[in-house]
Amino acid sequence: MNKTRYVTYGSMLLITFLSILSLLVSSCAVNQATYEQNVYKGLNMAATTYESTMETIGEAYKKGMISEPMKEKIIEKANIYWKTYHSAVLAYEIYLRQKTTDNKLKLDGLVQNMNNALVEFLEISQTNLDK
Amino acid sequence: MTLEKNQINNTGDQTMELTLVLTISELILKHGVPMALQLIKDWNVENPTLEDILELKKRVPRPSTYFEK
Repeated sequence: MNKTRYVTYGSMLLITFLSILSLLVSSCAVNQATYEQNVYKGLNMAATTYESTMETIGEAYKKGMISEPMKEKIIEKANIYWKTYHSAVLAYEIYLRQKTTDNKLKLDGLVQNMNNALVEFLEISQTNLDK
Repeated sequence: MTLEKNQINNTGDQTMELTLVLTISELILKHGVPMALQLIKDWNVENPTLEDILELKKRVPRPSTYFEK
């Protein structure tokens, strides 16, 4: 796999994630009954996107295509995503146990944080693979 | 008027679905059938249970694990 393919792959993941996110947000707004399913799907898709991207980056690093400073930058953003993902999953568990408005608001905020962190992580991954 | 709005919404939804299908198809080409099956499985969950949450907790390992040689 050459650099061009890594870049295309990074862009594709970002587009996929944003497409899915838009789809989930629009379906959430239309149908409140599927809120729990949509959050679950969103968490799963975000996890799959992160895992696929990290596997690609790890492979590129082992082949010497990513320098140490680049690796550190990626890890910094990935760590932020990692924390926001696990916080969102915990908030989701709390919400499923106690479906209160307060818990729903907290979950919405944490899912939003996670989405923002994932987009930042994907952007920096794509940029670094581009160099 | 309502019919027109519905038609517009349907067209938008169909475009989103087409984009989604195309991008997922590309991911399948890159990652093969196991990832496709995982995506379909994730997408079809009707009522997430606490067991499903345990599975979510097991996912997303720390970033440093991907750089271990």
